Amino acid sequence: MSDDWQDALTPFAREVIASAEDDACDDGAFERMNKKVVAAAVVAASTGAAASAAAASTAAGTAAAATASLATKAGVPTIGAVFFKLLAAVAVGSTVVGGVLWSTSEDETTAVSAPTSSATPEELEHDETRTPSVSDLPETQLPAEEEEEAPASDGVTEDREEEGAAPPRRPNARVVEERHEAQDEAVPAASLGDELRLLRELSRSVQTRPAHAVRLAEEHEARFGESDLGPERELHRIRALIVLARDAEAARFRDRFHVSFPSSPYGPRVDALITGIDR
Amino acid sequence: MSTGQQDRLEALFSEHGRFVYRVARRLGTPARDVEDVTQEVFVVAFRKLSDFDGASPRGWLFRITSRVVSDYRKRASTRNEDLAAPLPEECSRGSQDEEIWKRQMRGALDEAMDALKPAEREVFTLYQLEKLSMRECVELIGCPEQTGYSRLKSAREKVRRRLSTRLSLVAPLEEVS
Repeated sequence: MSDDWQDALTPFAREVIASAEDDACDDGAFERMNKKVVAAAVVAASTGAAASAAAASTAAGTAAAATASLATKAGVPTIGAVFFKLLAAVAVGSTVVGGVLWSTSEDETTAVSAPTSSATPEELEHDETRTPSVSDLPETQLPAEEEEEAPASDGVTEDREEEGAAPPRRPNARVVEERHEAQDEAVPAASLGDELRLLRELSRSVQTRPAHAVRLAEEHEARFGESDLGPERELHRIRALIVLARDAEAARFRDRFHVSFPSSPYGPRVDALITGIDR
Repeated sequence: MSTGQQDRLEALFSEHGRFVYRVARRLGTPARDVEDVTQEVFVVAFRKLSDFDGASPRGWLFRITSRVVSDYRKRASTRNEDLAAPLPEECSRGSQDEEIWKRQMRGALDEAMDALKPAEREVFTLYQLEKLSMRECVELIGCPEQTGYSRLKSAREKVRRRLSTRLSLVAPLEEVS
């Protein structure tokens, strides 16, 4: 079977497929896993030999943790795999282990769950590797509108808070006026031409560079928050989010669209986009 | 664990660890958990080492990986985790843009591949992403070559349709003039 399939894809789809090239395991992860694999195998071997002494596992884990932690705190340089394995084998092998072993990485002490079916997702989760969501970002990085209270009639508010990626809310007139005054002092006035150029690039980027399009929508909102072209911006933002398969966010922005622009002629189009995802 | 067993495990990991890591990711493990799943694969392999005849260690590890990932996804599914959820957009600028862009694209691939059945996902992973020949693919998977091609065709069509649907949903509007 020829591989013309990939060549026949759209540029966007080809780029999506090519993104899998970044799945490669880097050297740091490889070293970490090498240590964990051997340590976990030691645990597995010990567990199989002495299942009846599970009560001793905490003590064993603590002993191993203390040993490993001590080594780290004492500034022991990168413990070679062999030394680490020796430590693990001694700590675990000399006592009876049931479940948890501690290992050191270069700069931290990490609890490593014994990789049996009893491991919980919480144990497996690596918070430090999680990419922050919009709600994790400092307020200064968010559009100013997010600081305002949502209208009481906004039925999606609770939902947004639960999902942690709330779209910015529509400001009231007084706040807008104050903000415009502040903007006048802080940034040079932007012309209508600037705004149209920004929206044009936003529109053109939706299908080819959707992540860029989302950023342009944010930029437009920050610079032209009260523009009459807000509905166009939001429509393109929702389109870009759909291309990126960020469906939940797209749906939330659709909800906000109807609150912010209840009589916009784009309303049905926005609804049709979201309906298209669900179909 | 004897020294011999440990040496054997280390040799397996050294030679196939990166392959298992990539395949675990591509079969549907989120990036945040792929190290743990890889570790689990090798622990399972360690437990079964005495039964392994030594032939085709990559195929043997692939089959273990497939099962471990499948179990992982079932557990995640019961917890209602969205495994295909793309990483969220960040508000950073400048040098990180390229990295963010790549992660966005990778998220879209996760979402598209989520439409595949496990057997289709296996062959798509090995042939399309790992760039193995179909003969190598079916050796690892353990199915007839024709079945491999059939699954690949179906998988490609689903991925293509999923990605193009995304684009057709957002067909260009009249540009702002």
